[in-house]
Amino acid sequence: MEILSKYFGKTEISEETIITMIQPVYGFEQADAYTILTDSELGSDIMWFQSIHHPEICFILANPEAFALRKPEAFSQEVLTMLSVPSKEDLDVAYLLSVTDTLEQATVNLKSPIVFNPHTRQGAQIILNEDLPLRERLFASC
Amino acid sequence: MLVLARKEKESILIGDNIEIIIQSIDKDSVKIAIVAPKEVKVFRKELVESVKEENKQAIITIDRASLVNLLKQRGDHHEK
Repeated sequence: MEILSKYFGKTEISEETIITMIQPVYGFEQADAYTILTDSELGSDIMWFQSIHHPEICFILANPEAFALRKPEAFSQEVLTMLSVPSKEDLDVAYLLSVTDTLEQATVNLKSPIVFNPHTRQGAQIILNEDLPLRERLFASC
Repeated sequence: MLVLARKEKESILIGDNIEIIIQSIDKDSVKIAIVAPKEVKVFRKELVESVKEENKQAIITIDRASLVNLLKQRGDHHEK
């Protein structure tokens, strides 16, 4: 199917790549279906999280491994149940990246990550109980 | 909106399985206990509001090519 993205223009995606958000991104409850778009130069380090039905709703996701970001210590049982997985290792985690003009100011939201069950392609934005920042510099050394 | 007066140790039932108990009342704060099924999410409102605000900030304002360039210039993001 063809979707429209503010940042990628008209893009052909496979319906199998659609992610359904059981708990939508807070404040963006109107969008519950997304796809992940990537740029060949960045691979899966940075992903664009594009709403299927709302071209203007597109977030940037940072892959924690690529940027040596700490991952949540634990997920509550409710989160595991909501996404139908037995353990934390069965979920993929990505952080929303907030960036304007420079990378020095770029921050990631460690407090409320986007988590996915890669098998069911269901996702959720969760709010962790851990004391974590909503804004952590992407590059701590800057 | 429904407004109810409650004293310490009194509670309110919402539906069949949510109970809000007024544990203690201080001069300028109230301690509330909440008994609810696990699937009911309970958060301080200001936390959810700040997550919403952060999400709004995260809606992209940088175009794809600029971001790719910035990260390529940086170059070291693959180092582990």
